[in-house]
Formats: sequence, structure tokens, C-alpha cells
Amino acid sequence: MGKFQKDLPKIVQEVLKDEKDETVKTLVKSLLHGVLTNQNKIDIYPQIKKTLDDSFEAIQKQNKILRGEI
Amino acid sequence: MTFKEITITNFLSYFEDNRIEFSPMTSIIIGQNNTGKSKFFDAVNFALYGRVYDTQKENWVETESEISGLILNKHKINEALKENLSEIKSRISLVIDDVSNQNILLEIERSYTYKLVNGVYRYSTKNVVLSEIDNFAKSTYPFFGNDAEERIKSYFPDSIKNFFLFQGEAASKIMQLQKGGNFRQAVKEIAKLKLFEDAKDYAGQYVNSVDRSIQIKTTKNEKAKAGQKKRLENLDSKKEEQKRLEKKKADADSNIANYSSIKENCENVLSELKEFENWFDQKKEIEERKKRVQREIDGMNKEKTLIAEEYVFYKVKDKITEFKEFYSRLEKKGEVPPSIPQAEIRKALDCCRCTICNADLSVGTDGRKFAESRLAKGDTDKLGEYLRKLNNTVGDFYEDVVKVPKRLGDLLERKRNSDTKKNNLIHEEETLTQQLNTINLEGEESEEKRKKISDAKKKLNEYATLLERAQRESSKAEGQLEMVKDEISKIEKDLRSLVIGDADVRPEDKDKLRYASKLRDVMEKLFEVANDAAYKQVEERANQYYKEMTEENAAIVGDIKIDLQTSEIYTVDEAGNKILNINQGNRISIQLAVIAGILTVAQEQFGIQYPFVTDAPSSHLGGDNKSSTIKSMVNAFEQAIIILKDDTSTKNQKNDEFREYIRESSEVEVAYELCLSESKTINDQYTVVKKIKG
Repeated sequence: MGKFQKDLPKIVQEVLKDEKDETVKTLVKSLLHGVLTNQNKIDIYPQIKKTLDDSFEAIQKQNKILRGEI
Repeated sequence: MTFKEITITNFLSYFEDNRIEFSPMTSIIIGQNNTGKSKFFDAVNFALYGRVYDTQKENWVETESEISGLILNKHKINEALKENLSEIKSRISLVIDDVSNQNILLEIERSYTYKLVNGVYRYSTKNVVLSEIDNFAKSTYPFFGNDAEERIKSYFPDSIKNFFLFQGEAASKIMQLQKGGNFRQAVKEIAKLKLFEDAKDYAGQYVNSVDRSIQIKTTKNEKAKAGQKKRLENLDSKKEEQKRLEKKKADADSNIANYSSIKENCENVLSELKEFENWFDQKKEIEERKKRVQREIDGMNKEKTLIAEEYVFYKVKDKITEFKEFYSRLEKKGEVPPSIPQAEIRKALDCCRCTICNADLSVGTDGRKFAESRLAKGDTDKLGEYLRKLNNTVGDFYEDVVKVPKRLGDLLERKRNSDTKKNNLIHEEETLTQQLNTINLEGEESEEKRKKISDAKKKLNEYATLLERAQRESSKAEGQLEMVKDEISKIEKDLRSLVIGDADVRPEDKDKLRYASKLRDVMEKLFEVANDAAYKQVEERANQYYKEMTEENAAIVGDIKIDLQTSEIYTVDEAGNKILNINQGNRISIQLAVIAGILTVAQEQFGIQYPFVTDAPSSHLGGDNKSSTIKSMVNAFEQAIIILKDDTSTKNQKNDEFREYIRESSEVEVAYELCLSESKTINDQYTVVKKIKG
């Protein structure tokens, strides 16, 4: 699975190449990573939700820092 | 995943421990018929999936009771009884290298234990253990029973088992690969489409939960809240229903694939035995015809006798008339009973008898003796009385007798026709007898074939019904699924519009919802692209391997095509038309090419590697593409373990080529030869494993 984590498949790169918003890219990667590492497990949505919430909050925080709001 | 070694112990034809080490590239196992090639394939299947191929049932068996009755080595039983061992085991140990995590080695050990009870070894318990050996940390993590089974499945999912473990000899399994359901499942698994599908679903779920949390925060109106809650509950219940219907449809599709395969298998059996069945029907028909002819001949013979009798009857008529006139003359003259010239009476006696009145006056009979004694004594009185009686009798029959000449022509004609017809029938009977002699359908083999035909017909009917039912179920589930999806879509739309219209939503929440929606859109697109790309890449790779495999055979043309809607695999000509009437060998080439395509894509795209283990793949292939297929397999698969049938007994030239290839090829690093032990009885024979290369 290491290869996937380091270097997302061409398909993902292809779909994301026109995506300008880094937030979306990060969320996609977080989501795929979350699903991948929890494969074959049942009821992982709470975990996935937390991963996405954390990612989103981290990005928001970073953006605020960049804008000088914090 | 790379297989490192397997140890087969007292399993099927393998006696005691037999250790086989594999090359990380190509290993070849070669052996003649019944030396244990397929049993080796069974050993790999048993280790990974706990299943064994039952040759009687022509299917895989997975239950404890079925497997325990099959696997214990017979020679081991005999030896253990001699030594009075209280317990014996049938066991497989398979060591696998996890190439994606170089520190980890997996060891699967699966065994069935038998205990001696009243002089018989009875099955006692089964055991399965998966050990993950971390060479770096110098520690081992064992998993037992169901945990071990689950863990093994996470490495080798069920849906790919018929692909990387390719059973070339069993036609039914080969056919199964062409059924959409299984193929779709394998591509989904191997190209990680499930990952994208799950991710897409979670993204959708995330949008809903963000929606929900915002809704809870912003909806002030209790009534609206209740309405919202109701919608969300409804959404959850619809999603549950969707899952249930998806499972129902998947089960029905899997059944369709399975039943179609069994049905096709039955059709193949019937098609293979069609010639025999025709001969058999022909034989039955000939036998019945022969009986009819015999009956006709008997009828002819009877009729001939009747005609002959009537003919004789006619012949004597003149004599009767003559006698009657003579007797009348005597009567008129008052000379009854005068001395009648003996010659006349004798003449009359000679001809006027049995056929007229049943009075038997032939030479030597009592009637004749009586008449002659009266003649000798000159006692014509009684003779006269006798003759009078005779005359009366003649009179009674006279009317009939005169009709005879009218019929005589017909009778003679009929007699001639009968003779000709009889001759023709006799000739026909001889011809039919000769034909029957050429149809040798006697013996056990014939009985077995007839039973096979009858069984196949019965099974065909049974599975045709099951197939229809499964198709109905699938179609019904599909319809219901569409409806539920529509309902879900409506509810989601409804929910979204409710949230977007709310002015009290915080900017952070609005952002979050916007990104969650965008994430869902990207994931939907990603799944769509991944789906198309996976099939396209498999198709491209498959075509590449197909060309290589068939390059030495000019008769094989066309390109492999994978229908994205149905996942059906077929070949098309230059004009894009589907090629029909593909022979068995070519079909196997197509399937091998597709499997190579799937495994290559899995490795190239995702770094997931599966070993390719195939049992006697070349047996069904035509002579021209046998060698090229083997060579292509060696090139196509990172690790290939190829089980080959040794045809030395048939002096097959291609076999010598294989042997030479095994010796000379640098790709083939390891090779083993299987043969049978020199035991006194067949029951005591077991597989002997010899390393011939590496």
C-alpha cells in the first residue's frame, strides 16, 4: 500500500490536475487515505468524518494564519 | 505477494512432508497424468481458501464434512494403521512474501486431524493459523480460526481467487471467467475500484452529515426540525434499503454467473456426447427396424404358406371334378358300389384329401390303410360309402373351390411379390445387422456415457429454471434499486435546498458544506474515470498478451473487447463485429490474456502483486499456440507457477519443446517433476516430488 500513499495513481492525478483549489486536493487525499488504511473494516464512517473534519479545520486554520487573522 | 514455499503433508496423493520452493519469477511443475499435478493446485487452494476440487462432483467443495472425506492420503492411512498411530494429520503450510512490506512474511498453516477409533481413522478437528512474521522486529503475530480466515481474505480476496489461481483443466471454471459478474468483481477488487466507490459513498455521506449538523444548528422552528429529522431518518432507511437491494442484486448476479456456468458446462457435456447419443439413437432405431423387418418376414412366410395351401387346393379341384363325374356315371349306371377301377380310386385318394375335408388319406395313414384294405378285398360297398361321404364333403367345399381359379392369378402374383419383398427384407436385415456391428456401444464406458447424458439433461433443466429465477430476481432488484436511488436523490436534493436557503448559516459552515459538496463531486468523477480506465487498461494489456500468445497461430485473429456495461469479454474482427464460434483453445488464450491484463494493471497502477498459479493451462490449447502461450505467461506474470502436463507417453513433439524450454530458459528458475511411487497397489501409490532445475 506504500506506493499508493506516496504517489497517488495516475487516475487521481488526472482528475485533480485541473483542480486549482488545494483544499479540495487535500480533502481528496485525506479521504482516499482514510478509506485505504481502513479497508475491510466495517463502519469506518465516524473515523472518515473525523479525518475530513480535522483536515478541513487544519486548512481553515492555516488560511486564517496566512490571512493574518490569527 | 510472492509464494516462497509450500509443504504438503499427507494431503491427497502426497505422503508425509513434501517441500516445494518457488522462484520469485517462474516455477514449473511437470508431471504425467495422475501424478499429483492437480492435487498440488488443490493444496494451494486449500491453504488460501480452504477449498478442494472434488473430481466426482466436478466442483469445489468447502465444507468440513466434504473435505475431511477427501484429503487424507491413503498410503499414510495404511502405514499409520501398521504402526497403530493414535492420530494423523493432513496439512498444508504455505509461506508468502509480502512484497509491499519487505519485512513481513506470512505463513498459512491449515490442517485436518484424524483420530484412530475402532481401527479406523475418523476426522476430529480442523485448524487454521496465519502467522505474520516481522523479520525486522523479530516478532510473530499469530491469528487463529475465523480471525485467520478474515486476515487471509484481506490479502487474497475471494473475488480474485479464480483469476490468479487459474484452473485450466476444468472447463466450467474457465467459462465462469467470461461471465460478467465474476469478472466485474475481480476488476473492482484488483483495480481498487472498491476504494473509489467507498470513497465516493463516504464523500456523499459527509455532505449529508455536514448538512445535518448545519440544519440542527440553524433550524429554529420545531416543526421544521421534526420535518427535517423525519427526512433524515427516511434517508437513512432508504440507504439501508439500497444496501440490502444491492446485496440482493449482487447475490442474484453471482447466482446467474454460477448457474450459467453450470448450464453451459452441461451443454458442453451434451455437445461432447452428441455424436455418441446420435449413434445410440440410431442403434435403437435400427434395432426396432430390424424387429419390424423380422415381423414382416414372419408375416410373409405365413402368407406364403397360406398361398401355397390355396394353390394346392386349386390344383386338386380338377381331380375332384373328375372324380365327381366318374362317381355320377357309376351311380347312373347303378354300379354303386361296383368294382371301381382301383387306379381311379387311388388317383382320387392321392389328391382328394386333407385340404378338402381334412380326411388324411396320404400313404401310411389310417384312412389310407382302411381304403386300400377295402380295395384289396374288393369291398367296394364300404368304400362306396366312404367315397359318397367324400363326395358330400367335396360338394360342401365346391363353391369355395371354384372361386380359387379367380384368385389364383392374384395369389401367384402375391406369392411372387412376397418372395421379392422377403428377399429385399432379408437383404435389409443383413445390412442393418452389419450397421449394428459397426456401432459398438456395449460395455461400461457406454453405460457411463448414457448416464452422463441423462444426468446432464436433468441438471440442465434444473439449472435453466434456477437461472431464470435468478435473472428475474436480479432484474426485480435492479428495478427496485433504481426506484430507491431516485427516492434518495429526491430526499438529498430536498435536504440540500433546505440548508442553502437558510440565512443563519455561519460562513465557516457554508465553506465546509461547499467543500464537502465539491469533494463529493470530485469523488464521483474519480470513480467514473477509474471505472472506465480500469477496464480500458485491462483491455489494452489483454490485447497485448493475446497477440503474443497467438502470434504463431495464423488462424487466430481479432481483438479482445470488454463490454463496459456488462463486463462481457469477447473478440471482434477488423470491422468491429463480434467473432462467434471461438474454439476452446482460443477461449483459454483470451482468458489467460485478460487475467494477465488484470494482474499487470494491478501491479503497475497500485503496486499490488499476486502470484499466478495455473493448472495445466496448455492441455486445451491447439499445437501452434501452446509454446507461445507458456512463454507469454512466463513474461506476463511477475511470479508464475505453471503446472504442465507431461506428454512423453504420446511422443508429442511439443512436449520435447517444453522440456527443452524448461532446461534452457533463464526465466524458469525452478522446476519440479512429479511421478508416482513404485507401490504394489494403486491405493498405495503416492506422489514423488523431484527437483529438476534450480
